Amino acid sequence: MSENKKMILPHKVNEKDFLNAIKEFEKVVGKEWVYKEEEDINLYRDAYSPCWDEPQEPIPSLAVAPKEVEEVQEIVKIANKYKIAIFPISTGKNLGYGSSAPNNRGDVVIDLKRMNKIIEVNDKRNFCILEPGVSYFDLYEYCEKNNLNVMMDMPDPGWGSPVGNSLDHGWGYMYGQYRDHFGAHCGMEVVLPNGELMRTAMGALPGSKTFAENKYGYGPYVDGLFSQSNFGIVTKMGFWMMPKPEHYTLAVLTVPKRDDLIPLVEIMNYLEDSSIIGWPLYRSPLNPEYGKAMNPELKSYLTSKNGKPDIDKIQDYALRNKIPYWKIDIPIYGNKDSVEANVNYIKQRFSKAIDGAEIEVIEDYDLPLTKEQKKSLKHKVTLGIPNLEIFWLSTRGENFAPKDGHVWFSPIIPRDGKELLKCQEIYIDTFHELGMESMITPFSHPRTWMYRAFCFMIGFANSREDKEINEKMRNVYNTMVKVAAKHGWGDYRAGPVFQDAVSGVYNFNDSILKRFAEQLKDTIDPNGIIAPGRGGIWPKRLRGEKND
Amino acid sequence: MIKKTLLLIFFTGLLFANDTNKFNEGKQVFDKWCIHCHGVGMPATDALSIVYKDTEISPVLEERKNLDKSFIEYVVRNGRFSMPFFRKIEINNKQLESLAFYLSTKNR
Repeated sequence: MSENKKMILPHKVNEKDFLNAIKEFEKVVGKEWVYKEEEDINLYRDAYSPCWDEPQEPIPSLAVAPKEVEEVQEIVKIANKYKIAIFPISTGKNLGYGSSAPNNRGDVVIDLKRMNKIIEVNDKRNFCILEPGVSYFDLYEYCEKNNLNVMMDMPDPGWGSPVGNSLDHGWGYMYGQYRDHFGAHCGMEVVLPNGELMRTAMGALPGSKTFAENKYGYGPYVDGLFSQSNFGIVTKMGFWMMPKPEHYTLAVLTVPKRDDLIPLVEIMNYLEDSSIIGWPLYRSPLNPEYGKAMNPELKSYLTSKNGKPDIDKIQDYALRNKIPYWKIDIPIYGNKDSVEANVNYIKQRFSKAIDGAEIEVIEDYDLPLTKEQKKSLKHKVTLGIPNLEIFWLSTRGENFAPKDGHVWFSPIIPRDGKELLKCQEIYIDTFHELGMESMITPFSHPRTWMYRAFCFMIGFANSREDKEINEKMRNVYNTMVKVAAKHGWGDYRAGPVFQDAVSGVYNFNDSILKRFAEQLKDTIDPNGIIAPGRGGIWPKRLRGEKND
Repeated sequence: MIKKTLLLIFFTGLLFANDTNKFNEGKQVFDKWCIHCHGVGMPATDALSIVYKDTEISPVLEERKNLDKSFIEYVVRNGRFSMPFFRKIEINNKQLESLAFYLSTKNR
């Protein structure tokens, strides 16, 4: 600890106790794996923090990196002894949702990155069992090296952790049942707040052979309690994996009109829920290419009707310039014959229902792919190939200033064309009322990875230079949460700064869900040591202080 | 004299061996942590091609001639725009030194 600097202390812990706790942590994991210098601790800050350098920015007081489950158990016991709040992270890459920073200033980060064992990958029964520090890159490399015929569904950034991502309700890009990463998990090992080790479902049966194959075993299903919450530290998880297909095709559907979205979504839902297609990527070609400016004529129509968009003029512009209003990429898996038959069926469905609908096949491959095919693949994640290409979203383009990162506002809305168009309107109105340029247009598309629902996201820019930008952004975010809730839309995920606001609108029957979670929290974590405030759940000793 | 020359050759050899190891370790770090954004056609490279437009400077880090060692170390630990900083558990100080050595000496 640098002597001249003021030490960040865990909340309500005195310096003497903290120094003693550090010594005990060091005994458990070794001095090398306790990070206490300011320069090391700062690396646990959220690079995309919405309150960078402000007093409330959650900077940890310490980071401890165990290697084994037994070490996690010991750490939890020490935390109880000194009533130190601890915050587990897996690979700590949750950018846009909090990254590696804890929920509160001073919480001790338990960095599980060193717990990176791939315990099993089975390509006959199609599952894997992993520790939290394993990344999608690690798992892919392992499967490829061992020539295994399975692929893992993954989010865009491949450096994340399957365990961490699923525990924060992350989503991916293959068939729906795999895209739901928490839903595709099977079996858990958890260190409870008192340090005891629990295995759920089949894992509760000593010697069970189906840890990652049957989700329920016998008795209550408790796994859900450990996601977006603070009831334990998950140290192992099983996941269902998808067998690699023999053949893969990417078809592109275009339709000319805005309202075509309504029948389009209905058909797409049918195709998706019948497992005929994988993840449909919705876009509008009216949006300019990455980093380019929007056509000035089109841009002028965004505000030409009393400051709001003129939808007729936008539609007319699209038709005149022969720009399809919507464009959907549709991946199809199977064998060559079945894929071809499905492509024909899809063509028929859309051309019968929508005038001017066109479908073109742009990728058509037998697997395994060659190196070149893998490299040129339009959507690598749809075939389980990890990458970081999504960061084009936040890098500098020709016509926008560099920004430091983004914070996701991610409400869940119905998978329905009409509702999406309504959602656009409500967001546009809200930006108008706030006196800001709308980040949503009448051709903003839904995010479709959320199986059986749409997510209508906004990526707010944050800054590490300008506190005003961040303050303004936090206000807009919090307004958006309320506006969305008024219409029946709620966020699926949020960074620490917004978790109280987001969980606060899930308040049916006098917030019974929250009260139920709090009762559980007080029972199984009476000292309130694990991730206070995570998911909006506060332990008794901090309730009322940080929670309204 | 002969003894001294032999000793010199011996130590120079060791130095080269050390440098080779360092260089190789640096490349491994680059391939694990950097190439996914800084490879050819990747987002950071695209962004840098706008930054270095109309200059001789390559947007591809592995093609750069005059990359400064301390600049690399600074960016990895402090981030830059949307590039986040990296924790020591991801890239430790020794690995960072090797990475900086690799990128700063590769094309010299």
